[in-house]
Amino acid sequence: MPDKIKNDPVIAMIGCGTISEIFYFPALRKFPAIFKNLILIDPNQERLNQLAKEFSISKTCTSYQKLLDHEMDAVILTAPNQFHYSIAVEFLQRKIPVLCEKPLAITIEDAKKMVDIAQNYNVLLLTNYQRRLYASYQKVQELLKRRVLGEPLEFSYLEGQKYSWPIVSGSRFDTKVSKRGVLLDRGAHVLDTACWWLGGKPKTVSSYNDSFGGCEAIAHVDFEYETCKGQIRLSLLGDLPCLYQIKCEHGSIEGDIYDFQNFWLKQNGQKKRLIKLKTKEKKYADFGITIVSNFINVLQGREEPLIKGCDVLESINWIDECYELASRLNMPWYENLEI
Amino acid sequence: MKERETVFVTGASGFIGGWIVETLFIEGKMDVRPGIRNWSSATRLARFPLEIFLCDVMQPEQIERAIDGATIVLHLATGSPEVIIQGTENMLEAALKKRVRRFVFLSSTAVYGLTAGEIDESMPPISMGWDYADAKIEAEKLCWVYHKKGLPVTIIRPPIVYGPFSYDWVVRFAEKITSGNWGLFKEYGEGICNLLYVSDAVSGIIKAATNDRAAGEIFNLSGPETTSWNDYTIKLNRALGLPELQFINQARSKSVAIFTDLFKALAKLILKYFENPIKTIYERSRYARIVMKGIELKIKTTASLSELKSYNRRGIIVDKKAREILNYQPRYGIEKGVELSVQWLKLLGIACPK
Repeated sequence: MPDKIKNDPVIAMIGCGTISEIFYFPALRKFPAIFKNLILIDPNQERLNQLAKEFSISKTCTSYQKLLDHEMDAVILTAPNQFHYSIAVEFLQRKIPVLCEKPLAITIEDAKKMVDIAQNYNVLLLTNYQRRLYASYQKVQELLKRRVLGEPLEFSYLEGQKYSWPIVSGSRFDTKVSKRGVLLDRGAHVLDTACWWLGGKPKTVSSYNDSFGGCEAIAHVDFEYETCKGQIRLSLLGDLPCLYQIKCEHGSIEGDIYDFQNFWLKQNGQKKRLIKLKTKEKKYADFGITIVSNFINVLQGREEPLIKGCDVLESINWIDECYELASRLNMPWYENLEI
Repeated sequence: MKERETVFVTGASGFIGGWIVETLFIEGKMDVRPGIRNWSSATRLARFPLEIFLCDVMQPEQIERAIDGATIVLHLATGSPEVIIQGTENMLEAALKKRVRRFVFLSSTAVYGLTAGEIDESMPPISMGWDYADAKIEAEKLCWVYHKKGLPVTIIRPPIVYGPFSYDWVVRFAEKITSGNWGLFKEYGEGICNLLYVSDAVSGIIKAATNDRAAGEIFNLSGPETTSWNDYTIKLNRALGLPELQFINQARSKSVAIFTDLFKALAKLILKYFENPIKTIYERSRYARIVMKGIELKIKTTASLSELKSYNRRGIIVDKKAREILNYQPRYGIEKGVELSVQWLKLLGIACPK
């Protein structure tokens, strides 16, 4: 068990992009004693100045290396995905706990090393795979685990929305650093959910995407897990229905992927009914409070971690596999182009 | 031997700009450099291993950095009238300073207003009081000012460009058709629909950018055939595999359009004053989400009065000059263009029959 932190921890936020601003800052503000000592780290001085002014934060720094040996109790890592591994490792090796935004890492090799280092150094490595916190998703997982509807036979998860996340820098699209797109971005949630619900990593039957050597915007994955055949469709270019559906031997489950309170349950011979769950979170931003307060409480030894780094290794492994097996989708409109 | 061209494209995250970048990358004969206004719009381009440049045409410093080393600038970025006019001037100024070999400005056949009959480049632009078209007319004037200063400029006037990635003329049209609210408009829908498949538009633009005789010229582009809006709707509907559409008579389509316009104005007003409470209700209530999405769909898939009027235009765009000087030869008839567009829609999983 890692050492407990008795006082209010000094937390460094590494990476000050949109996710920090709209998800973590409002959550951290619920802990004024911690928020007043928050350290912001980002290479963009202009961005630091803007956030420091807006949120009245006095400590900022353009490089995390400069702060490695300074006093801090924990790190919230929201830097671009490709830097999660290298930054997290430096802090974990100094026994500084890390809460890492999803995806934990961009390859399974990096993710495993992060988890191993956390174990070897006896330090906390938590991560934010938010959908694991949705009451509806937790209930679905429980129903599937208990085989309430029998064996799952068909699984479908469609998530597509034209990308409109107000990102501050272009590092997500720097194909020199990483050529991974929607499968790593949205897929981190979706493939993790599939692993978690089904009980393990499925076998990839086929994997297609629309990459021409860069970050794919559409990904199609077909898979099998024991008796279940599944499909995942992800898109950043257009709107898909954003639904999940699981058909089982004795009924089915379906829901809106963003609905954290409700889903539909149909048991054979009965009418489809809406399962409504009560949650303390009323809107998406409230999950920031849940994840941050859990991190703080775990640091102080008052709670068990909600999502540990090791919990998501199977899905990262699966994402890697999907990239390895990927072929390009059939896109006849790019054939015979002539000027 | 001519040095390899480096083509800088503004508005590269847009429909046509994206296609230019993709086509040049796939063809591989020129280096291409996409410029975009904000990073959230980079998803389509990021599928290619290209360096993407942030280039807000209202930010002269960004422009200078982005076009440094480019031999051709294709200016497709659009936006508000201010962005169209001032943005074009900023681009022209930077291109002149950097001595680019060719500056191509993408204008529009909207500058011809409601002119009927055959329309070639000799037809003078007409201000109809439409913000977009008037801004394009002003931007064209600026192009000629800079051409006189020594920057070789070419202006392209495309009509309605459609194809994969077209949200205006493919996605939204398909959504309208699949909604069940749409039909064939008697009288209104019989106007001329000057359709140009996007690959043909790209071909025309690149030919104009690389042809020495094109400097100082304006070119209309058009598809290999003209059609009516009703005919385009029928072809798209058929390619989507839907049952035949019914005709809606003129009086009914007009009255529905007037009611929809009023309802739309009211909805805008409500949203203006109660945006936050509405957002909260939307986020918290599943039923509210269903109702609001239903209303939004109904508004989006019912023809407005201005739409009906635009479907009744009678001008035919003539591209004889581009064919003669640029050897421009559009290859995609409407059947083929619609087929490819629907294949794209199906890949995206959008606007397909339930």
